[in-house]
Amino acid sequence: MVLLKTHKDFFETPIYASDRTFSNNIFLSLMKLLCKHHEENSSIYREISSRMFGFSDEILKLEDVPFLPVQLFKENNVSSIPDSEIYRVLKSSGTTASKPSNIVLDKETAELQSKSLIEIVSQELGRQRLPMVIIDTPNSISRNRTYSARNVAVIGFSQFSSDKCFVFNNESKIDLDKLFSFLQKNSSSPVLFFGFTFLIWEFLSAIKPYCKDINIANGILLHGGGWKKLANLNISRSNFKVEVQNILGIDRVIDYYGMAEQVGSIFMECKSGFFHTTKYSEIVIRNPITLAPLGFNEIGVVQLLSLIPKSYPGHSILTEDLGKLLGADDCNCGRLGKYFEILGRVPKAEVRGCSDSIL
Amino acid sequence: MAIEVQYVLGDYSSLIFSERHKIFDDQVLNFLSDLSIVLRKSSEIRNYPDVANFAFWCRRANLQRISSKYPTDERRVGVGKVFHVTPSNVPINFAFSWALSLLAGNSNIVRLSSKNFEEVNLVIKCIREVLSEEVHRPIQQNNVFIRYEHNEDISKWFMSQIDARVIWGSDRTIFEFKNMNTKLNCRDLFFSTRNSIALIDESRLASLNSEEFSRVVRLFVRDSLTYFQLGCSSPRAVHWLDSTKKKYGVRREFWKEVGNLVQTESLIEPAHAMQRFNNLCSLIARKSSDIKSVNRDFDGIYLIESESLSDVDVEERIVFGTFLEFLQVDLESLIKGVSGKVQTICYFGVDKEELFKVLAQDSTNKVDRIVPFGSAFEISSTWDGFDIIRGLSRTIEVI
Repeated sequence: MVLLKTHKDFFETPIYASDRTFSNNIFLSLMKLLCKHHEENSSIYREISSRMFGFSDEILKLEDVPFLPVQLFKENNVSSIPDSEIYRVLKSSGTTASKPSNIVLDKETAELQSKSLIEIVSQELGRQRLPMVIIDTPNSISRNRTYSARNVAVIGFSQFSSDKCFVFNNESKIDLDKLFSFLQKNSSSPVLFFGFTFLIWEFLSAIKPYCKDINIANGILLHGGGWKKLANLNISRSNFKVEVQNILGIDRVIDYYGMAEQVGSIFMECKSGFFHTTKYSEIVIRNPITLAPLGFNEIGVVQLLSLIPKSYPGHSILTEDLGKLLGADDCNCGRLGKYFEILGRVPKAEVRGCSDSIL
Repeated sequence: MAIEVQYVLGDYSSLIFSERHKIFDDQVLNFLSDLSIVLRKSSEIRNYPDVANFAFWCRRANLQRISSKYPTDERRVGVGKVFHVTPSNVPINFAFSWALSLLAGNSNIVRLSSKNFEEVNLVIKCIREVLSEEVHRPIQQNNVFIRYEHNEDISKWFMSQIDARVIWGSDRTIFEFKNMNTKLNCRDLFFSTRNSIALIDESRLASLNSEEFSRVVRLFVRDSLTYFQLGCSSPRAVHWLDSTKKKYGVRREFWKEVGNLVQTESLIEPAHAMQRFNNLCSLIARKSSDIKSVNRDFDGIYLIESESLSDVDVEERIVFGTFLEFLQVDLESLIKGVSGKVQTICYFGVDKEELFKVLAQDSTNKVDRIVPFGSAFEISSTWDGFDIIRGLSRTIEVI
């Protein structure tokens, strides 16, 4: 907060007002301050950025901002705060079979995550709280000192609820009676459905037989967490939307994109179907081999920048996702900022160990 | 037990009465040269240069050339049943390991990598085709190709049956097999994880015309990136002999062309590049004081400048187009500086006899191969300092 307050109007700036002038001046100067902060407080960040990129005072444009590979957070404890300031630890399950990321949060970063999330989500839902159907288990919201990415998302988004209903019980069974009575009780108000994309898909398949009994005319469905599992089942975004419409009767289906390493500054799908940067975030698409920045309409690896992470150097990370920038400040939806598509993960290479560990 | 072992080709029962031959037996030469023909005729081979390389290696003329190194008055015969554990970084090595043992006069049990490599499948398919001919029936009865998941009991059982074993492996794999009992006179050939370096005389490189220069770059790229730099013989460190700061021009040209080739010929995949970037960041995170800088000026490759890293420290991390670069080296200090893990020196513009002289005088075991650029993966009958033919055969002394 302190850092973002160095620009006096930052918090007053509308969330989707980050045009190129804002990005190249205000965002960049705040990002440089953040880089400097991490150089001074995280030795791992300093060693890597100075050897691979250069120091923060040499940054002239967004594409110059050093970035760390997302994998680094899984293999190392990367922190920019003394242990005594740790307020919460996030563990992202990340890709299956890999180690979880360890993200340390201090109070300030945690608050900023929550603040930015509220700002971004209330653009879609308005400021009033809504009854919320969470396509997850009650356990997903129990508070521990460590949190999975799913926990964090559910906890974060349940800030927007006036009343909550968990669709699964803690044994991961669907509790239909509970759902129906919740919907009955809240039939006069818009209802927010929220969950991870693949869990929603499971939920949809499970309740399909009862879909005659459900019609949520005034609903909004917000989902995120990626398409990997659904892409494996050959289910596209439009298939998904059609199914949500058919089974639940919900027209407004909004996908969001975000990383456990950058909680808060998420990217919402706009009316035209594209993800947008906000005043908190930026994106650069890079050539997957050389990591040189690419222009519009070129497919490459996604680098995400966020002004939120202060307690750990996750302010600029190279993801393992492929994406394509479609433009900046001129999306049909009217929102400013860059808009883009995510095209899945970088395809796995055939792994050849130096030798079999077969015995 | 039999259920858990997958017999890819042949089955063990035929090996019970396994035969052995004298080295370079006509029957074996006929078989391998037929295999060479079938491989070279197969339509898929153009996709697999390493399979083509094997096919070229086992043509009759080359086998005869190799056999000429072994005087017939040595009266060598195979040792019996040989068990091979084959590597997965260079899939085709299974074929060399097996063919050399066959030439040494043995019956073979070849354990293939559990990874399903197309290269392996192609060679196995062609072996099967050649073996189906009646004339090669004795070979068919004496060679078995298997796969099985990690299972100590199965491995132990095979270890008790064999007369020699060839284990290509990680250090861990080799230690595990070393700890299993074998017959007292069982021969062991262990090929552990190694790494390799390149040695370039900078002024010689600078004297080349552009065509020759590009050819040298291409050979270097072939040596280093054929198996995404994972092969033990692929150079991961580059040492410049006689380099001076003012000649940086030729080094710059060299790396620029290497990087260009990596990109234009897609020698690494995006996932490799991501892994490479992560490897480097992790390496810096763990050993920051050892790494002076990482040069990312050459699109497609990374150069690491370090004064303290030896080849061993970083062997797992320096892959997919990453090179440690050392300047102004001289032969004596180079040989002194490298570890016993170094297998091959790929040289350009360096006097190989001079290099051999320095190596032969060194008091430790290091560097088993000195090869010109382009020959890192060339296999004769010697590997890692072992003569495989002699290692897998015995002499019957007749006085």
